[in-house]
Amino acid sequence: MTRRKHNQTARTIRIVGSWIVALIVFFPILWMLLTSFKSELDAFSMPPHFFFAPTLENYEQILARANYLHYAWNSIVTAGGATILGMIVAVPAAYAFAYHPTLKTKNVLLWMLSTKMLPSVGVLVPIYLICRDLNMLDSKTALIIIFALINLPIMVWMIYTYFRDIPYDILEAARMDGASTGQTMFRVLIPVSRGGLASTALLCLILSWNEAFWSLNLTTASAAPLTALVASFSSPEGLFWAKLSAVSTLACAPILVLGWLSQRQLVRGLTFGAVK
Amino acid sequence: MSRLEIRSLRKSFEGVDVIKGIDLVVEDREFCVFLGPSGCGKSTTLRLIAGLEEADEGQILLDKDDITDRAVDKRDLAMVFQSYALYPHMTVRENMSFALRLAKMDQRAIDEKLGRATKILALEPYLDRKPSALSGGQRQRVAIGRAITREPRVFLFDEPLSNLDAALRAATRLEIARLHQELNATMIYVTHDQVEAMTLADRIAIFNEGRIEQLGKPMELYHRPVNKFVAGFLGMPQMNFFEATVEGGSVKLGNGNSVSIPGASQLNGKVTVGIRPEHLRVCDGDGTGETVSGKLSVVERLGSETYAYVDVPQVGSITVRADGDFERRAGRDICIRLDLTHAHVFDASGAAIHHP
Repeated sequence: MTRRKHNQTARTIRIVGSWIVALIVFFPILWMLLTSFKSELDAFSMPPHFFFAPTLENYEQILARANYLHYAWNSIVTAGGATILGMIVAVPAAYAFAYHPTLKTKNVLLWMLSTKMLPSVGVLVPIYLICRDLNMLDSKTALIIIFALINLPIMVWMIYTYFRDIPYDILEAARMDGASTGQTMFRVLIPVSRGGLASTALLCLILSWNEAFWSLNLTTASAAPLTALVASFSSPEGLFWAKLSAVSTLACAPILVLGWLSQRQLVRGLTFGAVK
Repeated sequence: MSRLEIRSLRKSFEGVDVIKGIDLVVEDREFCVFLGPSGCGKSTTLRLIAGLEEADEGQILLDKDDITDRAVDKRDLAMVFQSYALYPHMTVRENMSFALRLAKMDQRAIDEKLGRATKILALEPYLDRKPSALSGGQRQRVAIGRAITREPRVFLFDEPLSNLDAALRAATRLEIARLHQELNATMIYVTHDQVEAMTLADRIAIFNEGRIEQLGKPMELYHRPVNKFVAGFLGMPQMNFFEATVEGGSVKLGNGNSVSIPGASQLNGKVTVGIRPEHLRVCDGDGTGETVSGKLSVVERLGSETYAYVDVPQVGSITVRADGDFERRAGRDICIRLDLTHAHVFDASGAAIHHP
């Protein structure tokens, strides 16, 4: 009897603990959401108000001042395009690394990852110049290519790990059954690893969606995504917390909803090897 | 007709010779088992036949067609993998018909072949399940079924029973034997389990270190092993070996005892004598005559028979088969009657120079 009681207490503590951790992690998003419905005055007040008269005035002003849909569309095209392009390159690359390794495969993989250690700003000037010479400043194509390239190492690594978890026998069985390399890939490998591929794609989508450095430096108006819109609210006229929160909320809402909807797939993908 | 012939096949991986020249003919409708310890090259040979590895040298012929460099899917062979290698995202039906669908066979022909295979393997109730919803034995049956629907010229089995528990392994072994009779097909079967080899094979090829040591019918290999390796590999428990010196049919053991080997009077010099546990007896009388004594170290009671492991000073450990109701306990002194009528003799290189 006491043992059961003890277990119940432990369970309660774990639940409360989990909620506290979850709230801490979620707090910035929550605070952003709350601030976006405050007046600028409420937003600045110290100590902060948890209870206030909500207003939609920030959203109205933002939508009046900027064409939200234009930026959102740019974000969808660049992040989506980069994800598709990245997957098209990463899946065959990971396939080659995983199933036809050479003595130097590990080195190549490490080298790919090492490019992620280079600070973006270090290559800003050359890439800016390349884009300028190719007449690709302020173009969505440039962003798509750059987003795909900067996420490629992570994508290849992730997919490589998922592929390594798939028994090679299955692919050999497909070969014996008469499948070509393409058929093996599309009818066996990709369906079998779809959880991992989906979570890789989603991660690339999120990273590209929230990418700001290249968006800010390489776009001005026609190709500017949502991150550029957010940035435009933080500078010249001083800080407007409420409006900044509102525009940030608008910027991350679509990806948040997408992440929420695909969370089962995402979690399964990220724990693929562990629960096989 | 599906007769498979292998001529001086060689393969090395990163400079290490794994297959060192293999010649072999598997006759039409024969059940040939590749038997050997792990790392002996039996699985590699099977993979070379399947085309999953490329041969460095040599030829593989299927009914006079040279298939050595032919693509995997053009060889008309089917393989059953140790890990089953079922497609996890497909149902049993889809797994078994995948090859036929890839070959763009028409639906009626697919259904017909699928129906025949499912009937043979009693898989009807499971056709719409995914592999994850099947037991190990059922998965193995699906893997075999996938091979059957292909109607290949040769079936290749790569240790298909290793992942099953003992009871299921025995049952599936019988099923494979039945299948061979029913399908009347050429089959090559790789295993390290001598019971599978002895019970299933028409002929066994014993592999060791990338070569075939001996090829023959199971009982032929058991009774007339060409060398010490084959003699030691077949038989459970292992054949007893002891070093000795022969002179004119009389064998002098390490402990000084002398015993005679009938029919071996022409032998001379240092040899290894081999004799199976079932050909030795525990002394029932006073222990005089051609006997050795030692300490009973372990007693294994299997019910119908008992194996006694005896430590004999200066000779080594000797295993003796005794009756099921053998009563003596470990730790006691015991004497063994050394009747070498059934002894094999091997020379210093391990080659057999005398059979009973």
